[in-house]
Amino acid sequence: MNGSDADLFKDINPFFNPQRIALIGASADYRKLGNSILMNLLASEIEIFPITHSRDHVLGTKAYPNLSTIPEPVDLVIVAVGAKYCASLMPEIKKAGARNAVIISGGFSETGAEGAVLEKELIIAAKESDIRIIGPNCVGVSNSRLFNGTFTMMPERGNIAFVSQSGALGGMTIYTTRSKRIGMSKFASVGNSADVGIVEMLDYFRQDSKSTVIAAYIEGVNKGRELFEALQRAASKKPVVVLKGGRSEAGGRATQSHTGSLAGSTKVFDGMLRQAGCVTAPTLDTLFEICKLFDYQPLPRGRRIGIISNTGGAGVLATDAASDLGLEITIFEQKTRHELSQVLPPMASVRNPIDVVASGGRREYRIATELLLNDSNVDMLLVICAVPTFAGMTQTEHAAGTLEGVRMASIDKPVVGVWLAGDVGKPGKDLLEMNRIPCFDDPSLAALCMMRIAEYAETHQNP
Amino acid sequence: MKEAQKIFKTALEEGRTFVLEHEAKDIMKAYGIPIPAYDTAVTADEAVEKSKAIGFPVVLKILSKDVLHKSDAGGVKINLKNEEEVRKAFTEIMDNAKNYGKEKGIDVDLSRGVFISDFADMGTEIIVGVTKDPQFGHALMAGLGGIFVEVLKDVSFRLIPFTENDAREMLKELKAYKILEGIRGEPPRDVDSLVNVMLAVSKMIEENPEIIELDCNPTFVYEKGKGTLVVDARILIGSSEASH
Repeated sequence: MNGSDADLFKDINPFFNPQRIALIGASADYRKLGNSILMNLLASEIEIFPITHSRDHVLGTKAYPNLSTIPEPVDLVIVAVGAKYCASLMPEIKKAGARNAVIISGGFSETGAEGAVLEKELIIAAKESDIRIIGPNCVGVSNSRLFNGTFTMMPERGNIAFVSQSGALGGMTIYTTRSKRIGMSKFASVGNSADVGIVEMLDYFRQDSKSTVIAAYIEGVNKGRELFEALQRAASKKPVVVLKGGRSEAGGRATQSHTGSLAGSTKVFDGMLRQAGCVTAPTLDTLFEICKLFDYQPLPRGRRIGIISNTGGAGVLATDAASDLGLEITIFEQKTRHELSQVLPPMASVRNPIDVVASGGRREYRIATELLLNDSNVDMLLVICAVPTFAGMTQTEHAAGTLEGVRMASIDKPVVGVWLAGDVGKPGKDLLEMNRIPCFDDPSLAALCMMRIAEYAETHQNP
Repeated sequence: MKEAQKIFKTALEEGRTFVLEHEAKDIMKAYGIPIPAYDTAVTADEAVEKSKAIGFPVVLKILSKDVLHKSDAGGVKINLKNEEEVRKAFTEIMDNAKNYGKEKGIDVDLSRGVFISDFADMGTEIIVGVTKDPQFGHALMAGLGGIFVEVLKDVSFRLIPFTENDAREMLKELKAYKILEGIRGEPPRDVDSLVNVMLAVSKMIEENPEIIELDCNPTFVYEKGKGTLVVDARILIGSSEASH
């Protein structure tokens, strides 16, 4: 396995770490994808060679009429021309020095029988020229540390690797993760997966030291066993969070017409994911929130949760959500309760969930955070702030207290925040997130993400 | 497994894609899956003798390549407590099968007689099944029987082969798992023996990939230490050998 693993890494790596890229179908027309892709490529430091028949210069960069006229060898070619031209480009791509091509172009098997013939021809031509291809019918690939080879935005820099079977959904996700400041390491939209598909991406991301978590959006697959094995291999190395599209019967039909592959029985798929040791995300939003928690925080040793709040109500809601999902509302050590009762006012609760009451600020949050993290009955900590401004407090003091508590605690355990109060809570929320403590608006979303990391930890610590 | 292969060959030669109950039980036995004591008989006298050897009460079922759904053909008689009841049941089953054949316009083969089985005590009803998914190949399903499966669709799956840990987890995934742990003062069920049945079925499918569908339904799980019994087993095979 190790030999072929290394081979695969070498095969796929130029897609993400090229030195020189040629773009076939570069365009000055802002209505063409070849224009968007070129703009994105030119924003990077990599050398770019636009190929177009119609002009000497595109977007101020020297353009070439074909691959044979570019002065230096390239190691990645991005193709955005009509489907019928793609297959014939393969020998030229090989001559230009590249063994990797991303086929953005649509009009292949996703459109019907005629397109399927073109796709078959493309596959054969690529094999003959020894070229690995991503696509066709895809958004492209990006490496947030190096270049953006897509017609969507560059993701925020980070550690989550994302492979998507749906191009539009993948591209859209980059917008939403950017607005939430969730960072990605690498992104690949695999489109019709004529050659490189989810399986190869999983094997690559598993070996990629720049990616700590893998997110996958999967609709349907043809080679189920290969997918299962790739997921299992990847999940044994790093968390793999999967969102499955096409779960309902109606969704299943939409999938078939969408990518032309089978949407399998949901129950078998769910069982397969668990067997592979993967984490499931119920929605698109949770897919990246779960990934973020995996990326930011250590794995818990168990599912016992400690909760701190400054209102009873929010603590109760969080407790309900956590226990509904299967987290254990822990009982603190006697020592912890005693020390808390020394510092908190008499009306405060020193039992789980802790209520420091509204007058509790920076000092109370710091002490409670530190005590709970040091308590051996606590595996992870949920810190809630429902009223960030009370009688002259600053908006960020609860967050600052939490951070101080985390730094003073001698043990590394996952910490998650829930900051309510909308915009008033936002400065505190931002402070936590900047310090890699995921902070949510809703206790039940926080509980769901915490449950998922606890389950992953259980599965992978006691195999 | 040679035993299973021989049975499948016979079935296909007779134009069947299902195996007869005693054949299914022979295969189960070969894989160490616990089943109630059983035998076959072609005459009423033989049925009585064999029933005595098994011990009353017993169950009689029609054994014929022409009858897949035995109850529909009036081919099942349960809880037979003595010689007289067995003799009467045998005659009725044969008559019912003949009438069933007339209705369907077929000549029902009666040469195999009946299947006789010990009438198992009621336990917690479980269904263990195998399906062949078009994408993932063989997968094992487990669920609690009755309304849990039919109404609540409370079942879980794992791809074959799977580990003992997978088998335990798939049971824990069931909403009805608490019933196996024992609720309302009931003693806990023998989950270990159920897990062994699941693992044995997994092995059976691995070694006989031509099986495309299998049902151990009902499977009775008794209280801890008292084991599990697969009371009824149905095996369907593909017409040509196919593996995942």
